[in-house]
Amino acid sequence: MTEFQDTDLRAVFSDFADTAGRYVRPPGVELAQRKAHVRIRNRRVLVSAAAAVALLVPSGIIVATQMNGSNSLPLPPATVGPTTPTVTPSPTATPSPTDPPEVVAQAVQGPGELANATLTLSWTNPDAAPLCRGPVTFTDGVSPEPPWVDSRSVHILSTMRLDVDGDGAEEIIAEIFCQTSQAGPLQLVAIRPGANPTTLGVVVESANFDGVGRLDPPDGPGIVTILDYVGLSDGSIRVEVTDRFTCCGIPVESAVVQQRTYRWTGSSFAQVAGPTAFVADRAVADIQVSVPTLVFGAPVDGFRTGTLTVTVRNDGPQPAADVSVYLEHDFGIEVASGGDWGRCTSSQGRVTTSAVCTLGSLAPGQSVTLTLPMRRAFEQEAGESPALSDYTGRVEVRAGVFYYTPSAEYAVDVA
Amino acid sequence: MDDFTDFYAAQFRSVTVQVFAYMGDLPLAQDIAQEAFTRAVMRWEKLRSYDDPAAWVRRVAFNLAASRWRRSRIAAAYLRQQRAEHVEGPSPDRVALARALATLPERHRRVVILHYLADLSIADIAQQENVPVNTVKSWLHRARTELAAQLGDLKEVSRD
Repeated sequence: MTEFQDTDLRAVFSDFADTAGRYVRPPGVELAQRKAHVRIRNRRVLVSAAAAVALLVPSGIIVATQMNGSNSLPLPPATVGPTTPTVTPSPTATPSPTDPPEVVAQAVQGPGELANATLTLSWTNPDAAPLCRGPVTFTDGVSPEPPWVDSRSVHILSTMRLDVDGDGAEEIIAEIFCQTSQAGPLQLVAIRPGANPTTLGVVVESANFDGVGRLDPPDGPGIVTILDYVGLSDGSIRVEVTDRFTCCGIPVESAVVQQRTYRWTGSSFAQVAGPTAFVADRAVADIQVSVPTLVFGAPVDGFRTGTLTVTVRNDGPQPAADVSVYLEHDFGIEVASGGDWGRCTSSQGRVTTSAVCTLGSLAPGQSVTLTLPMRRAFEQEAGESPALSDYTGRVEVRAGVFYYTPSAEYAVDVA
Repeated sequence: MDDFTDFYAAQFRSVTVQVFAYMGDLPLAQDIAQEAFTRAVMRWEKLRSYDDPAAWVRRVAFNLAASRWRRSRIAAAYLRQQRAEHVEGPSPDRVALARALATLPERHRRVVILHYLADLSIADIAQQENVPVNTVKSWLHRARTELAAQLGDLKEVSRD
C-alpha cells in the first residue's frame, strides 16, 4: 500500500461513519423494551402452557357462560395474542405435559463441517429447482461453484449440532437455501455426519415467496422465512418462522413470527408444539380494520393532500393487548405532518413507505380511529391537470396483534 | 434500566453504521441494530456486568446481518433494480466506500469493518469471529489491498 496508505483508509472509514451516522434514526429504547416485554411474556406463556392445558376444556364453557350473562365464574385473565393458543382450539400442536425442555444448542452461521460435503436433498416444494434435489456437492457451502448460471444455486446458511434421535451421537441440522432466480425455498434438514454424511430427514421447509413479501396461497400464507432455530434438551428443534419476507423497508414488525417445535419420530420429523398455521383465531380475537378510500384534494404549493382515516375495532369477546396498525403505501405517497402520526413509527424504504402505529389495549367492542394526513406531489410537469381533484392512493392497512404472536390475528383493508 | 438508556444512546449509531457498511442498506441496518438491542434489553441484568456489553450487541447484530444478508441479497438486488432512489441517505460520493466494501468477500468485509469502524484489535476480531489470529491478519491484508486499489482508483479519477 504505497499510493493509498493505511491512514488514508482510516480517514475514509471515519468520514463514512460521520456521514452515515447522521442518517441513523434510532427507533428508541422504549420500542426495544416493549418488544422485549412481549417476548418475555410469551415465553412465560409457553412455559406455562402445559399447566394451562388442564384448564382449557372448561375455559370454553366459562366464556360461553359469561357471554350469556352469567357471572358466577370469572373469565380467565387472558389477553388476546400471546395467550390465545391456550384458550381456544386454534390449530396448535399439543405441547408435552412435562417440564419444558431447555435450549441446549444454537445455530451457527455458515456451512461449518458440511462446507465441502455431498448431501442428498429432497424437497416437497415444487419450486425447488432440480439442482437442489438429489446428491448435491458443496464447495465452501455453495453448489455449484460460482459464477452461477441463472442465479440458481444451493447454499448451506447455518448449522447446529444436536442429538435428535437419542442415540447418543449428535446429528447436524443444516439450513439449506435453494436459490431459484430471485428467491427460493428454505429447509432445515438433519444430517448424520461422517465421511459420507447421510440425510436423516427434513425438519421443516418454507414455501417459496414472491421476492417482495407475503405469499398468499388459497389456504392462507405459509412459512415464508425461517428466522432462527435452537436445539432443545429433549432432542426437538424449535424454529422461528414468519409469514412474510422482511427486507428493504418492509419492517420486521409487519411479519407474524411463530415458534414451532419439531421432533424426530423414528421415521420422520413431526411438529409437536406451537401453532401449525398462520390463521386468524376469531373465537377469541376479532380485530377489524376499515379505511375509506384515500382521496387527494386540489394541489396547494405543489402537493395534493388527503387524510387517511383508519378505524380499528375489537369485535372479540376479550380484551386485545398490544394492538398495532401496520400501513404500507406505494412510492409517491408521503406522510404529511399532523394528525395522529405521533403514535406511529415510520420507515421509508425505496419502493414503499411503511409505518407501525401502536394502539395499546382494546376492550371488547372498543374502537379507535386514527387520522393520518398524507400527501403526494402535484406532477404538473408530467401533464397532471390541477382541475382534477379526485386522485386516490393505494394504502394497505393491517391491524392486529403483531410482535411475536403465536397466532396470526390481523385484518386487512385497502384504501 | 437507566444505564441501558445511556448504553443505547452511546452505541446504537455506531452499531448501525457498522451493519450498514456490511449490508449497504441503512433501513435494514437500523432494523437489525434495533433487534440486537432488543435482545440485549431482555438480558440486560447479566450483560451490564460484562466488561464490554457492546461487544455482545455487535456480535448479535453481525450474526443477524449475516443471516439476513444471505437470505435477502437476491430480493434486495431485485428491488433496487425496480425502484427509484428517493430515500434519505448518504450522497453517492460518500458511499464509494460502501460500494467498494460490497465487492469484498463476506469474511474480508466483516474483518475490515470490525477493524476500522468498530476499532477492534486483531485479537478481538479473532475472538469474535472464532478464527485464528493469523487468519484475521490474512483477511485484513487482502481487504486492505482490495479497498486501497478501488479507492485509490477513485482518487485518481477525481484528480482527473
